[in-house]
Amino acid sequence: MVLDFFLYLHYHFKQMSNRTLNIILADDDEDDRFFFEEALSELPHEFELATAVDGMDLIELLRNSNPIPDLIFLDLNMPRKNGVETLTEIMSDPMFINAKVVIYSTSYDLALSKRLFELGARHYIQKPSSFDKLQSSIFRAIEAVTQSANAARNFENFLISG
Amino acid sequence: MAINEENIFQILADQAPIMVFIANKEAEVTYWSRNWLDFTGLRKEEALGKAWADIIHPEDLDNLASVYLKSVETRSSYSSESRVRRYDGQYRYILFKGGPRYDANGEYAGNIGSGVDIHDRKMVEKKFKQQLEKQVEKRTEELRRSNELLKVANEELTSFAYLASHDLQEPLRKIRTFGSMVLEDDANLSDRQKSHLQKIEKSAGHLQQLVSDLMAYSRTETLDESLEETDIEFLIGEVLDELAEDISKKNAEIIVEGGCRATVVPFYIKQVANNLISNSLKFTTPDKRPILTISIEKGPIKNPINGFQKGQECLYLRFKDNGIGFRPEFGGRIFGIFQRLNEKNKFAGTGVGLAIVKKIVVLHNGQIFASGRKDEGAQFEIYIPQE
Repeated sequence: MVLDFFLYLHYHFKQMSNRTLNIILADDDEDDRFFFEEALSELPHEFELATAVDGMDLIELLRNSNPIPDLIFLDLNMPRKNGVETLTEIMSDPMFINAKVVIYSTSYDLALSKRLFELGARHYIQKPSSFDKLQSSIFRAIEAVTQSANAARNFENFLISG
Repeated sequence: MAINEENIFQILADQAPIMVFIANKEAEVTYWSRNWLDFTGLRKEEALGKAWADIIHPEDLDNLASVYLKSVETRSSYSSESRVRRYDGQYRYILFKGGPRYDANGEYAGNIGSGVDIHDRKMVEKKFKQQLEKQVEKRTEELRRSNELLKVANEELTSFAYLASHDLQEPLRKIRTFGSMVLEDDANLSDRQKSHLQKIEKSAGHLQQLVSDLMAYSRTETLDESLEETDIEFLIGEVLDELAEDISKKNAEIIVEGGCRATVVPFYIKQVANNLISNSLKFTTPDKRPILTISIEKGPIKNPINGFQKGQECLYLRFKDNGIGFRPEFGGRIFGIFQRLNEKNKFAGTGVGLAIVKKIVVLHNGQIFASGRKDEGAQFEIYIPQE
Protein backbone atom coordinates (compact mmCIF):
# COMPACT_ATOMS: atom_id res chain seq x y z
CA MET A 1 0.00 0.00 0.00
CA VAL A 2 2.78 2.36 0.86
CA LEU A 3 4.57 1.48 -2.37
CA ASP A 4 1.47 2.33 -4.39
CA PHE A 5 1.34 5.66 -2.68
CA PHE A 6 4.90 6.51 -3.63
CA LEU A 7 4.34 5.54 -7.23
CA TYR A 8 1.30 7.80 -7.24
CA LEU A 9 3.41 10.54 -5.74
CA HIS A 10 6.15 10.24 -8.30
CA TYR A 11 3.69 10.49 -11.13
CA HIS A 12 1.99 13.49 -9.62
CA PHE A 13 5.08 15.37 -8.72
CA LYS A 14 6.14 15.32 -12.33
CA GLN A 15 3.12 17.52 -12.93
CA MET A 16 3.98 19.97 -10.20
CA SER A 17 6.36 22.84 -10.60
CA ASN A 18 9.94 22.19 -9.67
CA ARG A 19 10.60 25.15 -7.48
CA THR A 20 11.17 24.77 -3.77
CA LEU A 21 8.07 25.20 -1.67
CA ASN A 22 8.32 27.29 1.49
CA ILE A 23 6.26 25.85 4.25
CA ILE A 24 5.76 26.96 7.84
CA LEU A 25 4.31 24.67 10.47
CA ALA A 26 2.92 26.06 13.73
CA ASP A 27 2.47 23.31 16.29
CA ASP A 28 3.32 23.34 19.99
CA ASP A 29 3.89 19.58 20.11
CA GLU A 30 7.42 18.34 19.50
CA ASP A 31 6.29 14.91 18.29
CA ASP A 32 3.80 16.37 15.84
CA ARG A 33 6.51 18.62 14.45
CA PHE A 34 8.69 15.52 14.07
CA PHE A 35 5.92 13.61 12.24
CA PHE A 36 5.34 16.53 9.89
CA GLU A 37 9.03 16.96 9.10
CA GLU A 38 9.43 13.22 8.51
CA ALA A 39 6.40 13.16 6.25
CA LEU A 40 7.72 16.05 4.17
CA SER A 41 11.20 14.58 3.93
CA GLU A 42 9.85 11.39 2.41
CA LEU A 43 7.97 13.27 -0.28
CA PRO A 44 10.13 13.46 -3.36
CA HIS A 45 10.12 17.22 -3.64
CA GLU A 46 12.01 20.23 -2.43
CA PHE A 47 10.67 21.85 0.70
CA GLU A 48 11.96 24.57 2.96
CA LEU A 49 10.35 23.99 6.31
CA ALA A 50 10.30 26.47 9.17
CA THR A 51 8.51 25.73 12.41
CA ALA A 52 6.86 27.87 15.06
CA VAL A 53 5.92 26.66 18.52
CA ASP A 54 2.71 28.64 18.92
CA GLY A 55 0.62 31.47 17.49
CA MET A 56 2.78 34.33 18.68
CA ASP A 57 5.87 32.61 17.40
CA LEU A 58 4.18 32.11 14.04
CA ILE A 59 3.18 35.76 13.65
CA GLU A 60 6.74 36.82 14.39
CA LEU A 61 8.13 34.28 11.96
CA LEU A 62 5.74 35.53 9.30
CA ARG A 63 6.71 39.15 9.83
CA ASN A 64 10.31 38.21 9.27
CA SER A 65 9.61 36.11 6.20
CA ASN A 66 10.02 37.74 2.85
CA PRO A 67 8.22 36.67 0.79
CA ILE A 68 5.54 34.99 2.88
CA PRO A 69 5.58 31.19 2.68
CA ASP A 70 3.63 29.23 0.09
CA LEU A 71 1.78 27.34 2.75
CA ILE A 72 1.15 27.59 6.48
CA PHE A 73 0.07 24.56 8.46
CA LEU A 74 -1.63 25.70 11.63
CA ASP A 75 -2.38 23.63 14.72
CA LEU A 76 -5.39 24.76 16.77
CA ASN A 77 -4.62 23.83 20.37
CA MET A 78 -1.62 25.97 21.16
CA PRO A 79 -0.76 27.97 24.27
CA ARG A 80 -0.32 31.76 24.33
CA LYS A 81 -2.22 32.23 21.09
CA ASN A 82 -4.37 29.40 19.74
CA GLY A 83 -5.12 28.56 16.13
CA VAL A 84 -8.35 30.50 15.82
CA GLU A 85 -6.87 33.68 17.25
CA THR A 86 -3.78 33.30 15.06
CA LEU A 87 -5.80 32.70 11.92
CA THR A 88 -7.97 35.73 12.66
CA GLU A 89 -4.88 37.87 13.09
CA ILE A 90 -3.22 36.59 9.93
CA MET A 91 -6.31 37.02 7.79
CA SER A 92 -6.96 40.54 8.98
CA ASP A 93 -3.43 41.75 8.32
CA PRO A 94 -2.96 43.25 4.83
CA MET A 95 0.62 42.01 4.82
CA PHE A 96 -0.54 38.38 4.89
CA ILE A 97 -3.57 38.73 2.73
CA ASN A 98 -2.45 36.01 0.35
CA ALA A 99 -1.40 33.54 3.00
CA LYS A 100 -2.64 30.05 2.38
CA VAL A 101 -3.41 28.38 5.66
CA VAL A 102 -4.20 24.73 6.20
CA ILE A 103 -5.57 23.80 9.61
CA TYR A 104 -3.74 20.83 11.10
CA SER A 105 -5.50 19.60 14.20
CA THR A 106 -6.24 16.55 16.33
CA SER A 107 -9.98 17.01 16.60
CA TYR A 108 -12.73 18.00 14.23
CA ASP A 109 -15.80 19.98 15.10
CA LEU A 110 -18.17 20.96 12.33
CA ALA A 111 -19.14 24.33 13.75
CA LEU A 112 -15.54 25.31 14.41
CA SER A 113 -14.49 24.09 11.00
CA LYS A 114 -17.14 26.25 9.33
CA ARG A 115 -15.88 29.22 11.27
CA LEU A 116 -12.31 28.56 10.21
CA PHE A 117 -13.43 28.25 6.60
CA GLU A 118 -15.21 31.59 6.89
CA LEU A 119 -12.09 33.12 8.37
CA GLY A 120 -10.21 32.14 5.23
CA ALA A 121 -8.43 28.84 5.84
CA ARG A 122 -7.98 26.79 2.69
CA HIS A 123 -8.26 23.30 4.09
CA TYR A 124 -8.54 21.28 7.29
CA ILE A 125 -6.51 18.19 8.07
CA GLN A 126 -7.56 16.10 11.02
CA LYS A 127 -4.29 14.48 12.11
CA PRO A 128 -4.64 10.78 11.29
CA SER A 129 -3.34 7.92 13.41
CA SER A 130 -1.07 6.30 10.92
CA PHE A 131 2.04 7.70 9.37
CA ASP A 132 1.23 6.99 5.75
CA LYS A 133 -2.24 8.52 6.12
CA LEU A 134 -0.54 11.57 7.56
CA GLN A 135 1.77 11.76 4.59
CA SER A 136 -1.03 11.46 2.09
CA SER A 137 -3.10 14.13 3.88
CA ILE A 138 -0.22 16.59 3.88
CA PHE A 139 0.55 15.85 0.29
CA ARG A 140 -3.06 16.28 -0.80
CA ALA A 141 -3.25 19.59 1.03
CA ILE A 142 -0.11 20.84 -0.67
CA GLU A 143 -1.40 19.69 -4.02
CA ALA A 144 -4.83 21.22 -3.50
CA VAL A 145 -3.40 24.58 -2.53
CA THR A 146 -0.68 24.85 -5.17
CA GLN A 147 -2.64 23.42 -8.07
CA SER A 148 -5.86 25.31 -7.60
CA ALA A 149 -4.37 28.36 -5.96
CA ASN A 150 -6.89 30.80 -7.35
CA ALA A 151 -9.93 28.55 -7.52
CA ALA A 152 -12.95 29.53 -5.45
CA ARG A 153 -12.96 27.86 -2.05
CA ASN A 154 -15.67 25.33 -1.42
CA PHE A 155 -16.64 24.07 2.04
CA GLU A 156 -17.30 20.64 0.62
CA ASN A 157 -13.59 20.27 -0.12
CA PHE A 158 -12.48 21.90 3.11
CA LEU A 159 -11.82 18.78 5.14
CA ILE A 160 -9.06 16.52 3.92
CA SER A 161 -9.45 13.08 5.42
CA GLY A 162 -6.64 10.51 5.45
CA MET B 1 -95.77 32.62 74.68
CA ALA B 2 -98.51 30.81 72.83
CA ILE B 3 -97.68 29.83 69.28
CA ASN B 4 -100.12 30.88 66.60
CA GLU B 5 -99.97 31.58 62.87
CA GLU B 6 -98.81 35.11 63.30
CA ASN B 7 -96.06 34.69 65.73
CA ILE B 8 -94.67 31.32 64.66
CA PHE B 9 -92.25 32.99 62.35
CA GLN B 10 -91.23 35.41 65.06
CA ILE B 11 -90.60 32.64 67.54
CA LEU B 12 -88.67 30.51 65.07
CA ALA B 13 -86.59 33.38 63.89
CA ASP B 14 -85.67 34.46 67.35
CA GLN B 15 -84.97 30.94 68.54
CA ALA B 16 -82.95 29.89 65.53
CA PRO B 17 -79.22 29.91 66.01
CA ILE B 18 -78.77 31.97 62.87
CA MET B 19 -79.52 35.56 62.01
CA VAL B 20 -82.67 36.09 59.95
CA PHE B 21 -83.69 39.17 58.01
CA ILE B 22 -86.38 40.39 55.70
CA ALA B 23 -85.62 43.05 53.15
CA ASN B 24 -87.55 44.88 50.42
CA LYS B 25 -86.74 45.44 46.79
CA GLU B 26 -84.67 48.51 47.65
CA ALA B 27 -82.38 46.51 49.94
CA GLU B 28 -83.93 48.08 53.00
CA VAL B 29 -84.19 45.64 55.86
CA THR B 30 -87.58 45.60 57.50
CA TYR B 31 -86.92 42.87 60.05
CA TRP B 32 -83.92 41.48 61.90
CA SER B 33 -84.05 38.53 64.21
CA ARG B 34 -82.93 38.63 67.81
CA ASN B 35 -79.57 37.03 67.02
CA TRP B 36 -78.65 39.73 64.59
CA LEU B 37 -79.44 42.44 67.11
CA ASP B 38 -77.40 40.64 69.72
CA PHE B 39 -74.50 40.13 67.35
CA THR B 40 -74.29 43.68 66.12
CA GLY B 41 -75.22 45.30 69.38
CA LEU B 42 -77.72 47.49 67.57
CA ARG B 43 -81.19 48.30 68.79
CA LYS B 44 -84.09 47.37 66.52
CA GLU B 45 -84.66 50.94 65.35
CA GLU B 46 -80.96 51.45 64.55
CA ALA B 47 -80.64 48.25 62.58
CA LEU B 48 -83.48 48.68 60.10
CA GLY B 49 -83.38 50.25 56.67
CA LYS B 50 -80.00 50.63 55.15
CA ALA B 51 -78.15 50.60 58.40
CA TRP B 52 -76.66 47.26 57.54
CA ALA B 53 -74.35 48.95 55.06
CA ASP B 54 -72.49 50.66 57.91
CA ILE B 55 -71.48 47.50 59.59
CA ILE B 56 -70.36 45.53 56.55
CA HIS B 57 -66.61 45.63 56.05
CA PRO B 58 -65.85 48.30 53.43
CA GLU B 59 -63.92 45.84 51.27
CA ASP B 60 -66.87 43.46 51.10
CA LEU B 61 -69.62 46.04 50.76
CA ASP B 62 -69.57 46.48 46.99
CA ASN B 63 -69.63 42.80 46.37
CA LEU B 64 -72.48 42.13 48.75
CA ALA B 65 -74.51 44.99 47.34
CA SER B 66 -74.09 43.89 43.76
CA VAL B 67 -74.86 40.25 44.59
CA TYR B 68 -78.01 41.33 46.37
CA LEU B 69 -79.16 43.65 43.62
CA LYS B 70 -78.59 40.97 41.03
CA SER B 71 -80.78 38.59 42.98
CA VAL B 72 -83.50 41.22 43.11
CA GLU B 73 -83.24 41.77 39.37
CA THR B 74 -83.35 38.13 38.54
CA ARG B 75 -85.52 37.16 41.48
CA SER B 76 -83.11 34.35 42.29
CA SER B 77 -81.38 33.17 45.39
CA TYR B 78 -77.92 34.32 46.35
CA SER B 79 -75.08 33.55 48.65
CA SER B 80 -72.25 35.77 49.81
CA GLU B 81 -69.51 35.80 52.41
CA SER B 82 -68.98 39.18 53.98
CA ARG B 83 -67.31 40.57 57.05
CA VAL B 84 -69.66 42.19 59.55
CA ARG B 85 -68.71 44.32 62.53
CA ARG B 86 -69.69 42.72 65.81
CA TYR B 87 -70.80 44.56 68.91
CA ASP B 88 -67.19 44.54 70.18
CA GLY B 89 -65.77 46.10 67.02
CA GLN B 90 -64.33 42.86 65.59
CA TYR B 91 -65.18 42.02 62.02
CA ARG B 92 -66.35 38.47 61.58
CA TYR B 93 -67.07 36.47 58.42
CA ILE B 94 -70.78 35.91 57.93
CA LEU B 95 -72.29 33.73 55.23
CA PHE B 96 -75.42 35.45 53.93
CA LYS B 97 -77.93 33.37 52.01
CA GLY B 98 -81.25 34.58 50.78
CA GLY B 99 -83.94 34.30 48.20
CA PRO B 100 -87.03 36.06 46.83
CA ARG B 101 -90.23 36.44 48.78
CA TYR B 102 -93.68 37.31 47.58
CA ASP B 103 -96.47 39.19 49.30
CA ALA B 104 -100.06 38.04 49.82
CA ASN B 105 -100.95 39.05 46.27
CA GLY B 106 -98.13 37.05 44.79
CA GLU B 107 -96.18 40.14 43.98
CA TYR B 108 -92.45 40.10 44.31
CA ALA B 109 -91.70 41.88 47.54
CA GLY B 110 -88.00 41.51 48.14
CA ASN B 111 -85.77 39.13 49.99
CA ILE B 112 -85.70 36.89 52.98
CA GLY B 113 -82.46 35.47 54.17
CA SER B 114 -80.15 34.35 56.89
CA GLY B 115 -76.60 34.90 58.06
CA VAL B 116 -74.32 32.39 59.75
CA ASP B 117 -71.11 33.21 61.57
CA ILE B 118 -68.47 31.26 59.69
CA HIS B 119 -65.55 33.24 61.01
CA ASP B 120 -63.80 30.44 62.87
CA ARG B 121 -64.08 28.11 59.94
CA LYS B 122 -62.77 30.83 57.66
CA MET B 123 -59.77 31.42 59.87
CA VAL B 124 -58.88 27.76 59.90
CA GLU B 125 -59.23 27.65 56.11
CA LYS B 126 -57.00 30.67 55.71
CA LYS B 127 -54.35 29.32 57.99
CA PHE B 128 -54.41 25.98 56.26
CA LYS B 129 -54.09 27.67 52.86
CA GLN B 130 -51.18 29.75 54.08
CA GLN B 131 -49.40 26.71 55.42
CA LEU B 132 -49.95 24.89 52.16
CA GLU B 133 -48.63 27.81 50.15
CA LYS B 134 -45.60 28.02 52.37
CA GLN B 135 -44.94 24.32 51.93
CA VAL B 136 -45.27 24.57 48.17
CA GLU B 137 -42.96 27.56 48.11
CA LYS B 138 -40.41 25.74 50.24
CA ARG B 139 -40.61 22.63 48.08
CA THR B 140 -40.30 24.70 44.89
CA GLU B 141 -37.24 26.43 46.25
CA GLU B 142 -35.72 23.11 47.29
CA LEU B 143 -36.38 21.69 43.83
CA ARG B 144 -34.94 24.74 42.16
CA ARG B 145 -31.84 24.52 44.26
CA SER B 146 -31.29 20.83 43.66
CA ASN B 147 -31.89 21.40 39.95
CA GLU B 148 -29.21 24.06 39.98
CA LEU B 149 -26.80 21.73 41.72
CA LEU B 150 -27.59 18.95 39.28
CA LYS B 151 -27.05 21.28 36.37
CA VAL B 152 -23.69 22.39 37.68
CA ALA B 153 -22.60 18.85 38.45
CA ASN B 154 -23.76 17.73 35.05
CA GLU B 155 -21.95 20.52 33.28
CA GLU B 156 -18.78 19.73 35.16
CA LEU B 157 -19.07 16.07 34.32
CA THR B 158 -19.84 16.75 30.70
CA SER B 159 -16.98 19.09 30.15
CA PHE B 160 -14.70 16.82 32.18
CA ALA B 161 -15.67 13.77 30.17
CA TYR B 162 -15.36 15.74 26.98
CA LEU B 163 -12.01 17.25 27.84
CA ALA B 164 -10.65 14.02 29.26
CA SER B 165 -11.54 12.06 26.20
CA HIS B 166 -10.31 14.87 24.00
CA ASP B 167 -6.97 14.97 25.81
CA LEU B 168 -6.75 11.21 25.69
CA GLN B 169 -6.85 11.27 21.91
CA GLU B 170 -3.55 13.06 21.56
CA PRO B 171 -1.16 10.52 23.08
CA LEU B 172 -3.18 7.70 21.55
CA ARG B 173 -2.76 9.13 18.11
CA LYS B 174 0.95 9.44 18.67
CA ILE B 175 1.25 5.88 19.89
CA ARG B 176 -0.42 4.69 16.73
CA THR B 177 1.56 6.97 14.44
CA PHE B 178 4.91 6.00 15.93
CA GLY B 179 3.74 2.41 15.87
CA SER B 180 2.91 2.64 12.20
CA MET B 181 6.28 4.23 11.47
CA VAL B 182 8.12 1.36 13.15
CA LEU B 183 6.02 -1.22 11.34
CA GLU B 184 6.90 0.44 8.05
CA ASP B 185 10.51 -0.45 8.70
CA ASP B 186 9.49 -3.94 7.73
CA ALA B 187 12.85 -5.27 6.65
CA ASN B 188 14.48 -4.61 9.99
CA LEU B 189 11.90 -6.30 12.14
CA SER B 190 11.79 -9.89 13.22
CA ASP B 191 8.46 -11.67 12.91
CA ARG B 192 8.12 -11.67 16.67
CA GLN B 193 8.68 -7.93 16.88
CA LYS B 194 6.24 -7.32 14.06
CA SER B 195 3.63 -9.44 15.81
CA HIS B 196 4.08 -7.63 19.12
CA LEU B 197 3.92 -4.26 17.44
CA GLN B 198 0.75 -5.25 15.64
CA LYS B 199 -0.83 -6.21 18.96
CA ILE B 200 0.17 -2.83 20.37
CA GLU B 201 -1.36 -1.14 17.35
CA LYS B 202 -4.56 -3.17 17.74
CA SER B 203 -4.96 -2.33 21.42
CA ALA B 204 -4.25 1.32 20.78
CA GLY B 205 -6.84 1.26 18.03
CA HIS B 206 -9.40 -0.25 20.34
CA LEU B 207 -8.62 2.31 23.02
CA GLN B 208 -8.97 5.10 20.51
CA GLN B 209 -12.38 3.81 19.45
CA LEU B 210 -13.41 3.64 23.07
CA VAL B 211 -12.35 7.19 23.76
CA SER B 212 -14.12 8.34 20.63
CA ASP B 213 -17.31 6.55 21.66
CA LEU B 214 -17.06 8.04 25.14
CA MET B 215 -16.77 11.47 23.61
CA ALA B 216 -19.91 10.82 21.59
CA TYR B 217 -21.64 9.60 24.74
CA SER B 218 -20.68 12.64 26.76
CA ARG B 219 -21.64 14.96 23.94
CA THR B 220 -25.21 13.73 23.89
CA GLU B 221 -25.63 15.36 27.30
CA THR B 222 -25.87 18.74 25.73
CA LEU B 223 -29.00 19.70 23.94
CA ASP B 224 -27.55 22.25 21.55
CA GLU B 225 -29.26 20.49 18.77
CA SER B 226 -32.92 21.30 18.55
CA LEU B 227 -36.13 19.52 17.71
CA GLU B 228 -37.34 19.59 14.13
CA GLU B 229 -40.24 18.08 12.27
CA THR B 230 -38.51 15.41 10.21
CA ASP B 231 -39.31 12.81 7.58
CA ILE B 232 -38.21 9.72 9.50
CA GLU B 233 -38.08 7.38 6.51
CA PHE B 234 -35.78 9.82 4.76
CA LEU B 235 -33.58 10.05 7.82
CA ILE B 236 -33.24 6.26 8.03
CA GLY B 237 -32.50 6.26 4.32
CA GLU B 238 -29.59 8.62 4.86
CA VAL B 239 -28.17 6.32 7.53
CA LEU B 240 -28.51 3.32 5.23
CA ASP B 241 -26.62 5.23 2.54
CA GLU B 242 -23.84 5.97 4.98
CA LEU B 243 -23.66 2.28 5.90
CA ALA B 244 -24.00 1.04 2.31
CA GLU B 245 -20.55 -0.49 2.22
CA ASP B 246 -21.02 -2.49 5.41
CA ILE B 247 -24.48 -3.58 4.31
CA SER B 248 -23.19 -4.94 1.03
CA LYS B 249 -20.18 -6.55 2.70
CA LYS B 250 -22.48 -8.54 4.92
CA ASN B 251 -24.95 -9.12 2.10
CA ALA B 252 -27.62 -7.90 4.49
CA GLU B 253 -31.21 -7.31 3.56
CA ILE B 254 -32.74 -4.20 5.09
CA ILE B 255 -36.50 -3.76 4.95
CA VAL B 256 -38.01 -0.41 5.86
CA GLU B 257 -41.74 -0.41 6.55
CA GLY B 258 -43.95 2.58 7.05
CA GLY B 259 -42.88 6.15 7.46
CA CYS B 260 -44.10 9.38 8.91
CA ARG B 261 -43.04 12.83 9.96
CA ALA B 262 -42.17 13.35 13.58
CA THR B 263 -40.60 15.93 15.84
CA VAL B 264 -37.13 14.78 16.85
CA VAL B 265 -33.56 15.97 16.90
CA PRO B 266 -32.54 14.59 13.49
CA PHE B 267 -28.82 14.33 14.24
CA TYR B 268 -29.46 12.29 17.38
CA ILE B 269 -32.03 9.98 15.80
CA LYS B 270 -29.60 9.34 12.97
CA GLN B 271 -27.10 8.28 15.59
CA VAL B 272 -29.65 5.94 17.14
CA ALA B 273 -30.40 4.37 13.78
CA ASN B 274 -26.72 4.17 12.93
CA ASN B 275 -25.83 2.41 16.18
CA LEU B 276 -28.72 -0.05 16.02
CA ILE B 277 -28.23 -0.89 12.35
CA SER B 278 -24.46 -1.25 12.84
CA ASN B 279 -25.10 -3.61 15.70
CA SER B 280 -27.43 -5.70 13.58
CA LEU B 281 -24.77 -5.85 10.89
CA LYS B 282 -22.18 -6.82 13.44
CA PHE B 283 -23.93 -9.41 15.55
CA THR B 284 -24.84 -11.82 12.81
CA THR B 285 -24.74 -15.60 12.66
CA PRO B 286 -22.65 -16.99 9.81
CA ASP B 287 -25.27 -19.46 8.66
CA LYS B 288 -28.05 -16.98 7.94
CA ARG B 289 -28.34 -14.05 5.60
CA PRO B 290 -28.74 -11.04 7.90
CA ILE B 291 -32.19 -9.51 7.64
CA LEU B 292 -33.10 -6.31 9.46
CA THR B 293 -36.61 -4.92 9.47
CA ILE B 294 -37.09 -1.29 10.43
CA SER B 295 -40.66 -0.20 11.18
CA ILE B 296 -41.68 3.44 11.35
CA GLU B 297 -45.08 4.45 12.69
CA LYS B 298 -46.81 7.28 14.46
CA GLY B 299 -49.96 7.14 16.51
CA PRO B 300 -51.46 6.69 19.97
CA ILE B 301 -49.92 3.88 22.00
CA LYS B 302 -52.08 0.81 22.14
CA ASN B 303 -50.63 -1.05 25.11
CA PRO B 304 -50.15 0.81 28.37
CA ILE B 305 -46.57 1.92 28.93
CA ASN B 306 -45.41 2.93 32.35
CA GLY B 307 -44.64 6.62 32.36
CA PHE B 308 -46.76 7.54 29.36
CA GLN B 309 -50.31 8.89 29.36
CA LYS B 310 -52.96 6.53 28.09
CA GLY B 311 -53.18 6.81 24.32
CA GLN B 312 -50.16 9.13 24.14
CA GLU B 313 -49.26 10.00 20.57
CA CYS B 314 -45.80 8.57 19.85
CA LEU B 315 -43.27 7.99 17.14
CA TYR B 316 -42.71 4.25 17.12
CA LEU B 317 -39.53 2.75 15.74
CA ARG B 318 -38.73 -0.91 15.68
CA PHE B 319 -35.43 -2.49 14.68
CA LYS B 320 -35.69 -6.26 14.41
CA ASP B 321 -32.90 -8.51 13.19
CA ASN B 322 -32.23 -12.22 12.90
CA GLY B 323 -28.74 -12.24 14.36
CA ILE B 324 -27.21 -13.69 17.48
CA GLY B 325 -29.74 -12.00 19.74
CA PHE B 326 -29.18 -12.15 23.47
CA ARG B 327 -30.47 -14.11 26.43
CA PRO B 328 -33.68 -12.46 27.68
CA GLU B 329 -32.41 -12.26 31.24
CA PHE B 330 -29.76 -9.79 30.07
CA GLY B 331 -32.29 -7.46 28.49
CA GLY B 332 -31.95 -5.02 31.35
CA ARG B 333 -28.19 -4.75 31.23
CA ILE B 334 -27.91 -4.31 27.53
CA PHE B 335 -28.06 -0.51 27.72
CA GLY B 336 -25.49 -0.18 30.45
CA ILE B 337 -22.34 1.65 29.47
CA PHE B 338 -19.45 -0.69 28.74
CA GLN B 339 -21.85 -3.61 29.02
CA ARG B 340 -21.08 -6.24 26.46
CA LEU B 341 -22.97 -9.47 26.35
CA ASN B 342 -20.59 -11.42 24.18
CA GLU B 343 -17.06 -12.65 24.72
CA LYS B 344 -14.51 -9.96 24.26
CA ASN B 345 -12.83 -11.36 21.22
CA LYS B 346 -15.82 -12.61 19.31
CA PHE B 347 -17.19 -9.28 18.19
CA ALA B 348 -15.45 -5.94 18.06
CA GLY B 349 -17.09 -3.21 20.06
CA THR B 350 -16.73 -0.90 22.99
CA GLY B 351 -20.05 -1.40 24.73
CA VAL B 352 -20.96 2.27 24.45
CA GLY B 353 -23.19 2.22 21.36
CA LEU B 354 -26.40 1.13 23.06
CA ALA B 355 -25.75 3.39 26.04
CA ILE B 356 -25.73 6.30 23.60
CA VAL B 357 -28.93 5.06 21.98
CA LYS B 358 -30.68 4.91 25.32
CA LYS B 359 -29.42 8.31 26.33
CA ILE B 360 -30.73 9.90 23.16
CA VAL B 361 -34.12 8.23 23.55
CA VAL B 362 -34.35 9.45 27.15
CA LEU B 363 -33.37 12.95 26.04
CA HIS B 364 -36.41 12.85 23.78
CA ASN B 365 -38.51 11.86 26.83
CA GLY B 366 -38.96 8.51 25.15
CA GLN B 367 -38.51 4.89 26.15
CA ILE B 368 -36.68 1.98 24.58
CA PHE B 369 -37.29 -1.71 25.05
CA ALA B 370 -34.97 -4.51 24.05
CA SER B 371 -36.11 -8.07 23.60
CA GLY B 372 -34.44 -11.07 22.14
CA ARG B 373 -33.62 -14.72 22.29
CA LYS B 374 -30.22 -16.29 21.92
CA ASP B 375 -29.48 -16.93 18.24
CA GLU B 376 -32.95 -15.78 17.29
CA GLY B 377 -32.30 -12.12 16.79
CA ALA B 378 -32.78 -8.95 18.76
CA GLN B 379 -35.54 -6.39 18.68
CA PHE B 380 -35.43 -2.80 19.81
CA GLU B 381 -38.62 -0.78 20.19
CA ILE B 382 -38.49 2.96 20.66
CA TYR B 383 -41.35 5.22 21.68
CA ILE B 384 -40.86 8.96 21.37
CA PRO B 385 -43.79 11.05 22.53
CA GLN B 386 -45.12 13.66 20.14
CA GLU B 387 -47.11 16.68 21.21
